[in-house]
Formats: sequence, C-alpha cells, structure tokens
Amino acid sequence: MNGVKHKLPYLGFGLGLRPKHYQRILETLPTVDWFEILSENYFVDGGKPLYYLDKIRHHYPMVMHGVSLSIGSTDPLNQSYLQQLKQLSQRIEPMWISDHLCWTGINQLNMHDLLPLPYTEEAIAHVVSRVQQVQDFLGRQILLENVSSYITYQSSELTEWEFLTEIAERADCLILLDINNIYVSSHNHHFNPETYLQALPKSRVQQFHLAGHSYHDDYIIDTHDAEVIEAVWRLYTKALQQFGLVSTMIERDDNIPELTQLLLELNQAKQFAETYQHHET
Amino acid sequence: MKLKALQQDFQAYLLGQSSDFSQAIVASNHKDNQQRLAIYKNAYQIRLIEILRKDYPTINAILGDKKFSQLGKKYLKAMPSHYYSVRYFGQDFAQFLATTPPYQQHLLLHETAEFEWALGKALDAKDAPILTLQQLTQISPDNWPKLQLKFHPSIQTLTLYHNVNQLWKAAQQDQELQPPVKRAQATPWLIWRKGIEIHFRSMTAMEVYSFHAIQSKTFSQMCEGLTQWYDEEQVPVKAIQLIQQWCQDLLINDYQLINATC
Repeated sequence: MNGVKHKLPYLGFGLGLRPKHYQRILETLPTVDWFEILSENYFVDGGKPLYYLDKIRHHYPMVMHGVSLSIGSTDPLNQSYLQQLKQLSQRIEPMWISDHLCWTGINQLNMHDLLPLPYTEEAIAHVVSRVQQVQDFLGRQILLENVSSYITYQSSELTEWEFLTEIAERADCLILLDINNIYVSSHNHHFNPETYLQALPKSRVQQFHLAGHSYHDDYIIDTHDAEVIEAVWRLYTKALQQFGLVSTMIERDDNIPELTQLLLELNQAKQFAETYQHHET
Repeated sequence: MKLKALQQDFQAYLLGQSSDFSQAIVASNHKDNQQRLAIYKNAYQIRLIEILRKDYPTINAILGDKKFSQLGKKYLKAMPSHYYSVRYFGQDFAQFLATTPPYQQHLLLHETAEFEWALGKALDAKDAPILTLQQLTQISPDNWPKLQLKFHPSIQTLTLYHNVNQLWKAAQQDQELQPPVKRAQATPWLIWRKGIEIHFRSMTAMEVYSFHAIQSKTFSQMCEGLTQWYDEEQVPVKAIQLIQQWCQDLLINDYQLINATC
C-alpha cells in the first residue's frame, strides 16, 4: 500500500448507527465510545441521512462498514462505488473502513447478500490483488470481516480460518472478526469455533462484531435480529483471551430494539472485557 | 471449478436460471444439499422484497402482504438489482407496474408507486440554501421583471387521479384503508423537503404554470401568462402572493436576473 501505515487505535465499545436511534442519540448523547455506520446508507446526495450523520459524528468517533465492495467478485472493482466510499470517508474521517470477505454479484448485478468464496489459492490471489488496489485507492488499510456461510464448496482446499489469515497476511489488511458469524458457521459446518480463533494472527484483528441469530431447521442463520446468545458471549471471552482488548460493537440490523436495550447489551460486553482484564492483571 | 464459473453458477441459481450449482457444494445428502442452497435463495428474495415493502408501504397496504410478496417476486425477476445500494432497487417499480399485466390495469398502483418513490427522492435529495423573503425584497423593483427563480433540488412534481395522499397517511398510521377515490381530473402535487422533513400539497393549474414559467422564463413573462386566470390589474398582487407562499414553504433556492429577448 502506498503511504504511511499508522497503528489503528483501540476504540472501546460501540454500536451500529441505525436511523431509528438518530434522534435519541442526539438528545441523550449516550455513553457509547463509537458508532459504526453502514456506508451505503449514506451514498445519497443530502437530506436526513447525512444531516444526522454529521450531527452524530460531531459527538462520536465513527468507523465505516460496507456491504457492497464485493471484494471477491470476478467483475472488475466498481470504480464509482470506490469513489463514493472515498468521498464519504473524506466527509466523516472514520477511524477505519471495513467490508466483508465475500462477493455480492457478478455481471453488474448485486444479489445484496454476502456470498461465500471457495477457499482456494485462486480466490486468495484474486482477493489479495483487489484488496491491494482498494487500499491504494483509499490510502489506508481496510478490514475484512468473516461472513456466515451455509455451504462448503467442493473446490475448497483450505479451512476458512486459513483462507482469512492468508489473505490478511498477503494483502496486508486487517480483520474484523464477527464472533457470531464464527459461531453460526461452526454450527453449520461442524467445526470447533475455538480452533478458528486460535488460528488467526493476533496483530491483524482490529475489531469484533457481536450479534444475534436465528435457527432454521438444522441450520443457524445470521439474521442479526436478536440478542447475543450465551454461547456467543462465551466465545467472546475466548476471543478476549486470545486477542486481548479489541474494539467491540453490537451489530443489530433487524428487529431493532430501543437504544436503552442495546446499551444494556453493550454493557454486558464491557463487563466480560473487564473480567478478562482482571484476570490479566 | 474456476472462481468465475462458480460465481456464474451460483448467481444463476439465485436468479432462478438453469444452473449446475448444486453439484459444486458438499452435502451429506440430497435434502441437506437442497436446504443449504435454499437458505441463499430465500434470503435473496426475502431481503429484496422487504426492501421494496419498506419503500412502498401504501402499495403493501393496498394489496396485503401476500399479494405484495407475489408482486415483489415478479419485480425481482424482471428487475434484478444493478445498484450497490438497496436504496435504488425499487426505482423502476412504478414503471414496472405501469407496463406489466395484470398490474398495468390498475392506475392506482402506478400512481401510488410514483408518489412513494417521490417521497424517498425528496428525503435524500441534495441539500441547497433557501432564499428568504427578506432576500427577495432586497431586489430592486426595476429588476423584478427580469427575475428568474431556481427551486430547491428536493422538489418533485407529479399528477394523480387518485387520493393517494390519503391512502398513504392511513397506511402510515396502520389504519384500514378506505376504498380509493378516483377523480375525473388529475391533481398536480408538489413534494419537497422542508429542513429535513417531507411535505406535500396539491397545486392549482395556475401555480403549476407559474412554477414552470418562473424557472424557464422571467417574472414579467410569468405575469403575462397569469392573465389566463386574473384580470391584468390583479396579476402583480397574485404573483407576489404566490412567491411569498413559495418562500414560506422554503421552496426557493436562488434567483438570477435575465435580460429577456422576447
């Protein structure tokens, strides 16, 4: 990547910024260390979304989290998308920018889903080259998040954690580790989630996501519409032991509760982290 | 299988096209294979239909959840998303309703889609300064005939035969919708953003004429046309009243003085 690399800071405990909470946040300025925004929600010309974004940014640090970079797609990188991403980053000066290790469509279509990649050398080389292009364009390291998956490709040659590690190391990017997604995939693909955690390079893990999910038949779906479950909290404490304090946020995309309820859930994350710190000292 | 071929097959499967994708995945048995794939296909359809439902709540209220989902599936098949933001997925919905049987027979659906999409466009249209009445009064009386106005970029205009505004309000309040009313004449509507809030109101034919004339011509030329509705001596007062109203509604963005050639 061109330009100087700076170590990204530890931000503490954050929440996903959702329109339902805009007004309440400005009225009460809740104790939240930072907010994560969904980048594409602000790819608009003006009006309400950008009005609230600017107001809330005035009070809180922010990070940008995208869903349409489509880093693994075999379509060319979408230059118009990258331009909008850059413009938004110049507007709000986020602490970092993240997206998912996935693809979202080809032939200029967008399925608006985080589709998994095969864990192959071909896919690694493809993604690494594209991450480097994106990082050069944005002038900063990006974070890639592990997605939940429900299928395993016949062509996969590696485990998911080997694939993620290899890409992060070769592309020199960082990792947004979604603890819930590891749990969901471990259930769907029958692996031990702690094996996943133990395999990742500590220096690359910059952020954690915590979220809820739902059961459908024999599978767990990453719906982000419920509270974090006990098993995911347990995995979070394992992650704290493995990686130390990492900026953590609660991600809720559907069935969004009142802000106070999310703050209670965020407090739980803080308490787990404090317990971990006490153990450390 | 190469990455590109794999993605072609996966996407074809999601789009309901012929695909060998099921053979590309590991599964313990046929049922497991089909269930795992169905998670993706269902998620694709449900996610985008829900986006459409949020963008068009009044159409959902008119049709009911089940019929709206059927309509959403047809739209998704005909108009898969080319956009990197779901914000724009529904932008061809009104056109789809106007041209696709059996929906094309129902003008109400087309009009409602146009109205709801216009509300969304006004909501996140470009920000722009607002010209105040005080600023306008500072223009010298000699220059008023040459005045041309520029309106706020959030403004949307459309004409509706049905009482879509009332249906929209009822749907917003989760009230049961009354039977729609279709008028013999279409009513022009103005939709815009006042600050960050959306407003809409009907317009008279005189206001529609003036709205277009003052943007493309001059105040003086606009006044000439107003004689269709008023006696010549009434025209200046009526024209000024209209501009005052536009100022109060925060509709005017800027002005310039034009030396008219005709």
